[in-house]
Amino acid sequence: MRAFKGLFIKEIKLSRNWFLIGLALFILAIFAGLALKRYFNEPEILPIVSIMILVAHGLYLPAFLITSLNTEGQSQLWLHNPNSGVKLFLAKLAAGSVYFLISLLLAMFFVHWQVNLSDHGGGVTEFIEEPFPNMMLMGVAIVLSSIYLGVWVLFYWSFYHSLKRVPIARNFRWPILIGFWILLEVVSNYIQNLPFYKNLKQSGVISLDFMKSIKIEVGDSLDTGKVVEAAEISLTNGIIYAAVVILVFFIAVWLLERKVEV
Amino acid sequence: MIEFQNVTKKYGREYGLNDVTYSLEKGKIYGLLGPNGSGKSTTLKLIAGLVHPTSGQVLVNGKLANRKIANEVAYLTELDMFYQPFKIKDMIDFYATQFQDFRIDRANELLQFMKLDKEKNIKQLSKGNRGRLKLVLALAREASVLLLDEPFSGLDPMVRDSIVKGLLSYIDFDNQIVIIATHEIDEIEPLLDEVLAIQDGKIIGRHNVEELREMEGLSIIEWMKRTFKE
Repeated sequence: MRAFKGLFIKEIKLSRNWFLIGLALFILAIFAGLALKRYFNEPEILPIVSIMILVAHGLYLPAFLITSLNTEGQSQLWLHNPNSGVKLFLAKLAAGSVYFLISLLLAMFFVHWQVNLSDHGGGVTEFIEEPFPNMMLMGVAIVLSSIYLGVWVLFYWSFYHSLKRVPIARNFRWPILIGFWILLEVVSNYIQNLPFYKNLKQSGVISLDFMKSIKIEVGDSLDTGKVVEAAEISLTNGIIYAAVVILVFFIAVWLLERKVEV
Repeated sequence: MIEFQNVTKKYGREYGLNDVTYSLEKGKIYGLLGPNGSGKSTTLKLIAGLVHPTSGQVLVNGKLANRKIANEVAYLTELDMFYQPFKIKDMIDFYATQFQDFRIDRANELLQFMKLDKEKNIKQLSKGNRGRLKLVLALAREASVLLLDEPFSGLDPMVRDSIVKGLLSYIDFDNQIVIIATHEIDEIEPLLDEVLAIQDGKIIGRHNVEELREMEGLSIIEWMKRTFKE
């Protein structure tokens, strides 16, 4: 635990500036939204900007990890460490998650505030009922997506650096990575279209009634009907994704331990 | 004990090490000498478990050298091994959490010895002080193997002198295996027990320094000149 705490504190200290830059960009986007709102005299610009900021948080953890790993990659001397690859990677994930959650919560408060303001004026985006659970669910979805993408970043980073050891692949690491990504996409699409997988997804489905109350209205052209007609979560799908993330994480660790060289 | 058993390390078509077999015993200070690209750094990285042999195996105290061997091996690299936003004390604290054999009291003593201020930011340190700090981090550990890769590279005579004094004061001469890979032999000549000459990934010579002096009447530099000429 002491080693993990040490790694975690190191990551927090090293990434403090990164976090502050992220916050600065966040504030800059708000000011840009305010400026555009005034310039076009369109009150709905700011809620839209706030929702864009929130959605962009899905890329927060992957971006954090890419930056952090690139810093280490300059010398790779972080690998002169007796602690397991699991600890080295988890410390990065944990530190990134702390900054990510702080930033996400700030973004959620801002969105909530802006959407509520917009609500009173009958604006573009409204939560008809239960705004809080809707926001929370959105937040959870962003957190899970960010972690999912973050773990893939760990994998691709380890894979990229492992290829250094393969003389033929050394100069073609980016094309190999892209080719591998395309291959995985093809395989994953194929599996997802299999009747067996579709049936599997149907088991353990939870219906989220309150999600159906989200209404997105654009001007007068769209009817104010419920846009989200069937908000459902497949537990089986969730378990499959969780299993994929865990598997990918441990492959990344294996590559780090066995194949990445200084 | 460190054992190289038929170790080959290839980088593409080039040999970092080429079918090398030898062993190094505890309680000795070895000088690993050779020109640039001869295989010195590869040798140290193999012992530190930071690179993996293409064939053969490296054993440290009977254990296969992989990344976890860092528990028993302290490695001072030629490169900067610091995190720029850190203060010296942050680096010390970080090492203390990662290596069980890291002694904070010893690190503090070494900092005083090297005249380094704990509160200084790493990015404010001169090259000489960075070299000193690297040595503090390596010597504050009670590791059975100490690897020093070009510890004098680009440092002025004053710093070199303080590094040699640091080594003399803090190496455990009975229990540690110390390997110093370097070009600069003048400063460390009095420290070394044995020298190994390495060229094109092969060990081309190995000698006990005292025997070299007494039996052949050669200094290490003279022996090197003769060995590498051959």
